[in-house]
Amino acid sequence: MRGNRFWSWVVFGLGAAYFLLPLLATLEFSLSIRRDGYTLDAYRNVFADPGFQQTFSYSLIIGLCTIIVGIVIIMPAAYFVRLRMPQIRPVVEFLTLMPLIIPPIILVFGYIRLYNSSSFLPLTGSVMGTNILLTLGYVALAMPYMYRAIDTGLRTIDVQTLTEAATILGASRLRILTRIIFPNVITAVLSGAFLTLAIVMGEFVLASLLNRPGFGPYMQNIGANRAYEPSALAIISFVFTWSAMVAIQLLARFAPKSSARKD
Amino acid sequence: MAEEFLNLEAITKTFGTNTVIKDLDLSFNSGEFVSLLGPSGCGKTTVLRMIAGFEKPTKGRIFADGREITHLKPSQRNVGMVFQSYALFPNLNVRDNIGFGLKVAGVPRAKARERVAEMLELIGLPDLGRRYAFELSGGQQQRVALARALAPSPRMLLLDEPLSALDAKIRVSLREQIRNIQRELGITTIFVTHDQEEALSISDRIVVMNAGHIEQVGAPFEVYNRPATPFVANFVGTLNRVEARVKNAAAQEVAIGEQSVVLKKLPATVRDGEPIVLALRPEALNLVNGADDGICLNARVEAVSFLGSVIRVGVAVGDTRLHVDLFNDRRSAPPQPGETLRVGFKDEDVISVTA
Ligand SMILES: Nc1ncnc2c1ncn2[C@@H]1O[C@H](COP(=O)(O)OP(=O)(O)OP(=O)(O)O)[C@@H](O)[C@H]1O
Ligand SMILES: [Mg+2]
Repeated sequence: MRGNRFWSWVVFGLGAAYFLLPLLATLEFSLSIRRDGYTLDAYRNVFADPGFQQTFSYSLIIGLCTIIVGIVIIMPAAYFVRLRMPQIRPVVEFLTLMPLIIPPIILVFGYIRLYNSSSFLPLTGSVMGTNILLTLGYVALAMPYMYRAIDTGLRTIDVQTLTEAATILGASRLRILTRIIFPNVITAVLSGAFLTLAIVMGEFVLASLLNRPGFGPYMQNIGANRAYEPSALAIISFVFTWSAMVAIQLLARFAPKSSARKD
Repeated sequence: MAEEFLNLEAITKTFGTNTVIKDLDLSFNSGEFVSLLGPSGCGKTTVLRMIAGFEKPTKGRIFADGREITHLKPSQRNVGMVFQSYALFPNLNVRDNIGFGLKVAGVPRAKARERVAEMLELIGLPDLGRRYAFELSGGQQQRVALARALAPSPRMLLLDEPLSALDAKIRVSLREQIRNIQRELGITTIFVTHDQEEALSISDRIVVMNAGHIEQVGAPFEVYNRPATPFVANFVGTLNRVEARVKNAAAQEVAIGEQSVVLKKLPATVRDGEPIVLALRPEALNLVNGADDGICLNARVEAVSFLGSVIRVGVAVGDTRLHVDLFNDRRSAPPQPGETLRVGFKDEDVISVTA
């Protein structure tokens, strides 16, 4: 028993070291811009850089749009699959995995071919159009996470009976979706939303090939041209991502109990 | 007094190739409490869902108040429904659950609030308006679900096994409460159950269903005492089946095991030597002390279960096992297993004689 415990700690320690050492090394490096000791100068430089502020807020806004569009598209889809066609759920689930199987580079070249300035829908012809295209691309990239999160949320409620109960009281589909179904899966939706945000903040391929000033290309650019700032950036985005994860956990804990007692 | 309020005409329902309801005709009177009773899978829920509008009949038509409603959406039918799983909206408190239908219908807020308070009073939970479903017991949840269904004043109320998820004690008190509320409001109510005792105790009429068709429609007293088919006799209440053989048709003599009795109810069509089955309710049998002018059989006691007001005695007459229900009498001890005694019944209590 004691030996067992000992070895589990060893394995845990090795695992932790594997993940934490590079992080600590990066942190240490990001603080050593001066010879004479640790300083936050690298962080100061990063935050002072207008490029950082612009790309960070650009990606944040695109991220929020992605979340909204994603919820508006995926929520009703997942709901109707559960309500009307539960037998095709595995197929839909597989389809939502496609973005994980097909590399984003293929996706973006497909987009550029389909929506270039001489196509039937020249989205890449204008800045707004390209922003829309980027958002839709991110919706596709986030779909595996978003769909799964929402579907898991829907599993915890009796979609069929709640829908029928509301229907017979006269509620429309839209009302049922927004007033009954959505509020009951909001925790799950938010966890999908934070994952989406984390993905969008670090995404490079789509933003760069569509030539939009995303945070991902910015990080890449800094990485290629500076010494200490990239490490600071890495730590910043790491903290950002982890805050999102912690937020998910907290939301899950403090969300009102939503499932009814069954006794 | 009773006018027909809801009519199902020649309803057939097919799922794929599976015909679940066959050519069913049924009518409900205004203000009536009708139970649909039958074994699992016989199509009770399907009938209810067609009345609610969640399923469309494959064939046939449905009329409510003289108007055809076969193709109306559930929301246009003005019916209230209560589900087995309560189905309260988990994100809304009790008040908002009850008020949901009113809000959807655009009832002004003050009026809706008044109606919700009235409903809370009706179900006897005036102080629980701010609770959420997970803070209520099953019985309370189902009462809230009832109030939610009734709040918009529907013209009929549909209940699909509303009590099945509750424990025995609450089941009995809640079914009485449902019945009282129904009487008070005079609302036409259709109650689905597979529990015959439940159906017998609260219904004006019972519709006994089996495999997608109706076996019998009638008042509880009638269905229990004059079952129209062997299925009804078996399904509603406990039934003793006494296997016998015609000994002498002319003399109405019947052999039950080694013993022979005279049965005046014997149909004229039977012939000597033919096997027959007599159906009897447990309460139609009694223990005989001394002389009796009825029919008597020697029996051995095999099991005795004390059910409170009733004592159910299992006896063997030859190879046939029978249940005898006796009223509990505190002055005399019940029979003991192993004892031999005489069991009697009257001719007119034989429910059916079948070949
Ligand atoms: N949506 C459906 N698709 C296919 N078959 C169905 C569907 N709904 C019901 N059935 C079938 O119809 C038959 C009757 O079902 P129904 O639910 O009406 O029975 P029930 O009398 O309510 O039974 P229970 O007491 O178990 O609730 C069953 O054989 C069932 O499998
Ligand atoms: Mg059913």
